[in-house]
Parts: sequence; structure tokens; C-alpha cells
Amino acid sequence: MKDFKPAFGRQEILNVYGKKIQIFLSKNPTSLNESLKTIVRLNAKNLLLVLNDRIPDGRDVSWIWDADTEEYISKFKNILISGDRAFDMALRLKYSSKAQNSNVKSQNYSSKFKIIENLEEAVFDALIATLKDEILYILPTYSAMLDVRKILTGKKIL
Amino acid sequence: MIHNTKYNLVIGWLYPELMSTYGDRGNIIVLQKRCEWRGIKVEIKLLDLEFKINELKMCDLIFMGGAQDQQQKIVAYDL
Repeated sequence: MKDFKPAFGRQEILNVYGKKIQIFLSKNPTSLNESLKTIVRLNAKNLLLVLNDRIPDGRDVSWIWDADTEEYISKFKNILISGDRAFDMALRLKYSSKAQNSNVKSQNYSSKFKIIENLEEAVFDALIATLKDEILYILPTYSAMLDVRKILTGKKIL
Repeated sequence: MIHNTKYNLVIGWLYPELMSTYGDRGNIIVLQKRCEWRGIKVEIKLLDLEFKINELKMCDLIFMGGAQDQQQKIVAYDL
């Protein structure tokens, strides 16, 4: 069992610049819930969510509203959001915040997460924010996972 | 947080079990959060099959998802 290697992008562990990265493909409400549940259990601190809406992902991203993000989002130290539909995911997280803010215009409830549209910049920013003994958890949709792997390994697999 | 007891809103969610497809509940989440942020007391009533008409009468706002043909037929008979 210990020699088992996961298929690319499925709970795969990568080492880049001395930092550990684990990728959990998250492409629908169930897989996003399961990924979040699993990494929260692993005491995850650093999260990079990548939401794309290309053909392999499905063009409709409204499924993110069916995921129970509110249950997990408060557990992280750093949350970074990227991908073609980064702002949709950011909005989902804003509405997952437990904070009952009286000032509607206040940005406090969104200060825990950061949006970087460019995936390469987002990956490196997330790596910098991840401390040496910590793991960066990346939760991408399918096409985003291929791009993330390409950035991290320099190899194209498909 | 503002404790504004002046306003409260009862939202009726029609057939959440049958009529929810892609992300429909997002509308409920957004309405609920926006009320909370403004100190408006909000109550969500789940109106599933054979709900009592009195429950519907208590609602200020009604929401229903789109669903598909099969579910629409069941709901149409119930209504």
C-alpha cells in the first residue's frame, strides 16, 4: 500500500522549492466537500482554490453554491483563489463567512482570502505563504489541475 | 452588528428537495446573508410536498428553483 502512487492530480504530493504540495482534484460539490473535509482533518493551513470553466470542467460554475464551504472555510490561515472564475469562487467564500458584519461595506469578512487571477502568480504566492514545515493544499477543477501540474513540474501530461 | 429588530423577513423556499438543480440554493444563501449583514431577522421556511397553506401565508418572499420536467410535474400536482 505504501508504494501506491495516485493518478496525477488525485491526492498527489509534489515537492517544489523545498515545499510540500498536495493536489486534490475538486470538480463538483461532492468532491469539493470531500477534499475540504479531508484537508481540514489533516490540519491544513494553506489553501489554493482554482476554479476554471473550460469544456473539461463544465462551463457552468453554479455548482459551487451546492458545496458546503461554510463548514470548512474558517479553519484555514491563508486562502488564495485563482482560475478563470476566481471571482465566482471568491463570492462563494464571502457568503460562507460566519462573520455577521454590521458594516456591509466593510472588507473584514474577505480579508482572509486573496484573489490572484494569474495562476502562475497565484501558485508562487501560495508557495511563499506556506511555511517550511507546512503543506500547500491545492484544490483545482480538472483543467486547472493540468495547468497547476504544468507550472509545478514543468511537464505537460495531456 | 446592528441589532435591528425593526425588520424581519420570512422567506418561503418552495420544494427545496424536488426543485433544486444547479446551485439554486445559492439564492437562499445570498438573501439570508444579506439580511444578516443588515441586521434583518430572517427565517427560511422549507415548503416541501404537502406543506400547509398557512405556512405559505406567513412568507414575505417566495423562492423556487427550476428543476426538470419530472419534478415539475410532481410539484404541479401538489400546488
